[in-house]
Amino acid sequence: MRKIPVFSAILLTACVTINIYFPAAAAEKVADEIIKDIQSNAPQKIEPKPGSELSDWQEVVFMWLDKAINALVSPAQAAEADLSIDSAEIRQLRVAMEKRFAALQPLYAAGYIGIRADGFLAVRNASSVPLKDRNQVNKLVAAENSDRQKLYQAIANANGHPDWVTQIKSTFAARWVGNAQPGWWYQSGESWKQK
Amino acid sequence: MIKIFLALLLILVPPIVEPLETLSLSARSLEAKGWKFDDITIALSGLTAKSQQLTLSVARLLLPKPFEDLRLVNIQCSAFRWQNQELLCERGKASVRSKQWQSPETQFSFHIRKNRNTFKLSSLQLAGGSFAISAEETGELWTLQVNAKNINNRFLQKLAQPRSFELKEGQIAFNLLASGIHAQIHGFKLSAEIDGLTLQSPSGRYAAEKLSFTTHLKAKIQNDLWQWQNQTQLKNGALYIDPVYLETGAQDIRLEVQGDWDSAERRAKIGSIYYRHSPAAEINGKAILQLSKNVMLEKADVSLRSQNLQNLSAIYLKPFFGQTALEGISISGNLKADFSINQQSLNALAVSFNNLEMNDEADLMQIKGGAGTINWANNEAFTKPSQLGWQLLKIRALPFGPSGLTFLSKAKNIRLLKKTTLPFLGGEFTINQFYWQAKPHDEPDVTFEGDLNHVSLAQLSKALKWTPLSGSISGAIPRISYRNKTLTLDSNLTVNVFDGNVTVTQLASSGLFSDYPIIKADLEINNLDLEQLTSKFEFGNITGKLSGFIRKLQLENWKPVTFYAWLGTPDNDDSRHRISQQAVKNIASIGGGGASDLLSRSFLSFFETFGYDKLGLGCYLHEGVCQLTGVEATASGYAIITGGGLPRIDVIGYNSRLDWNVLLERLGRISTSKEVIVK
Repeated sequence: MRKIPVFSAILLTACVTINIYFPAAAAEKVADEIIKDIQSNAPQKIEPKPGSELSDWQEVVFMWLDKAINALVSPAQAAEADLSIDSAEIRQLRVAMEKRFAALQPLYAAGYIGIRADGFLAVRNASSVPLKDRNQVNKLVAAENSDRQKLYQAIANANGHPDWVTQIKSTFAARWVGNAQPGWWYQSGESWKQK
Repeated sequence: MIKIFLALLLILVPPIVEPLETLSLSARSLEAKGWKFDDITIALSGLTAKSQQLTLSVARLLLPKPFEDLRLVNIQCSAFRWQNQELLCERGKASVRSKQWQSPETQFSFHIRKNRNTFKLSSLQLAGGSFAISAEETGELWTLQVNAKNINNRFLQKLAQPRSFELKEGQIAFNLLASGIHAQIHGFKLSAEIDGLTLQSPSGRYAAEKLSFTTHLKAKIQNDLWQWQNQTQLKNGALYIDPVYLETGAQDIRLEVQGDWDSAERRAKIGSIYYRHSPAAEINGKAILQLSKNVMLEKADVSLRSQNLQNLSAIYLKPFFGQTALEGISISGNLKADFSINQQSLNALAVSFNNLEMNDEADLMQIKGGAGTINWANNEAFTKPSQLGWQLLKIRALPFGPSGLTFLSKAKNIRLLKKTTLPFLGGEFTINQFYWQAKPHDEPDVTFEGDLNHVSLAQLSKALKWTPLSGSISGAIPRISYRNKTLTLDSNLTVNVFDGNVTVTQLASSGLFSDYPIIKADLEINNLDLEQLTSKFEFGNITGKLSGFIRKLQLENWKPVTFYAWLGTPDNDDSRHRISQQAVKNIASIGGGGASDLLSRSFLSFFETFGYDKLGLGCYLHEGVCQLTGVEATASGYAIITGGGLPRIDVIGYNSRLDWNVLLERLGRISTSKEVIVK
């Protein structure tokens, strides 16, 4: 039986049709990055974009390393590795959500609001919210939910896959709960649980 | 009830034909029209005496729907008189039971005569309070009076279990006086005092907290219409009607309404309504409500007066502005407004105001000394103009002097009716056209066209907190449209400034009215006079011309994210080219230059100015880094200034990549470093 040389095998691998899978791991990473940034009390300035922290020689070394890895790893896997969050709309939404978080934080802590199983916010028990705060709580929750939906769509659009919105939403749903602070409420099945 | 009771007695007590001392009669059960009496015993003694002693005992009385839960037990009437077609029970006792509660023994009496019957029930303990009920029937007419004290809302909640709200705390006292003929009620008066009422609707959209108020309702039926009037005054506590929150106490809040109610059509016609919330507003009006499945405001005409717009806006307007661009707006002044509402929608509006002051926490807009009248109708054929004047109008940091606008507002749009020139920063700002089209749940469409004439750059730079500039700015602003979150220019926007001009093309924007606007544009800069540009500039003086471009400019929240720019001496520029020592130092420092030391240490420090052939600097901003270029490439970098004449000076930059934030910092403080040399 004729043996296929290793080099030819790599070439054959390189010819495999590229399948763009939803980058689940990258989406989780992105979700964590965005949520942590929104929920950070001393957020990083999002705009203008920060300059590269790498020196020129480091960039060159990493670029060649990257090329070498790409030659060995199958293209399908490579396509799964990244999810961009670089668009004006995403930055716009992050700024708005970051600003709103200062108002949402005491409501999470007081238990007035909680994270639903789908990652959106809900007023857990409207009657427990003091009357004078009730309108503000309702408006904040509605505005935050609207921005979350827009953010998921903006991330999907920024990656050229508007159809990924459902998967992004689902990834974020788990990460909002994962990044919830102790004492916050989240929905698990039909019931509310406190973290 | 009295009639049934009387009928029952007549059935149970047979005619007396023999002189008996005592007669007793028992029946296990008697049922009529939903009323069920169990274990009835009547004992009549002293039949031969002048007055009889009658004892009536009923073990249990079940009432018809909807009172089927109530049971009267151990009914006893120990002082009973029956003579000359007259029945009198003066010391009756009974207990009332239900699944949720039970009343201790309560006292009752009745007096039944041929044409006049009375019934009294006192100290009935119900829902934590006590009731006194008295009824009288004269011929066909009857009256009923109920006095209730200290009714506990928690008990009421258990008793009534209302679906639309949950009663939590508070007490109710009321007095009801009703009258009617046969089974029909003809009128009533209800006075109630509610203290510390706490209730919630299931959705939380309507709620009261420790609310105390008095209410008086008077109604009578005439020609099949209920005519009614009500006065309600809030005394203490808080009320939430989504999204409005009212806190009573020091504020006088009262409502007076009168109207009629057609129960067949389920339609309420409110002839007059008066609402006073001092010191916020007074409302007068009339309305028609349809209460079929939902409450629908069929028609209303309402007048609102406010001598304190600050309170009015804080209580009644701000709740609607939450999480919108109007959130931080506060208003003060006087207002008079007339509204017309048809089928739940605002149909027409006329608002007059004066001493208007408007401030915005985000500094987007400010008005001082505002006055005018705004007329609006939800009708495209509407033609009544509106006027708005002010002593000061500020949009972001830009102030407009005393002036006014005449416009037409109708349906969802506002259109400027005549060309208006406004005093603006020592010059004029002329609005030739303005059109605003509101969109539900979205940013509005806006069209604008205007002119700038001799606007002082000194005042403009001061207003925008820029480095002081001199000269003036003029130009025509072509038609600008903001539609579907996109800004477009009909033609180029050219501004004449520093004896040259700046042309803006490819203008685009999204989220212009949000707090994170994104703006894109291309700018062409032609023959600006550098002497004018730098004469009052701390940067240092330069003579000559400056041309260039800023292309693919993208601003996010007014900060540049990307552009490709070049500013330099134009070709064929025959003007005098001189640059001051200060300007050389500062230009050198932009690229991180070390000109300062060299200039001060060398013979060049003897010269105030230098001749130059060309100067220029380019920047391609991308991913936070500025890729710098100069007038020409040199072996080791790029020339920012090439010398001309004597003494000759060249400024060369070596570092071609600069972090944008570092560049901004350098421009800010104009510092020096060792990365640029002057030779």
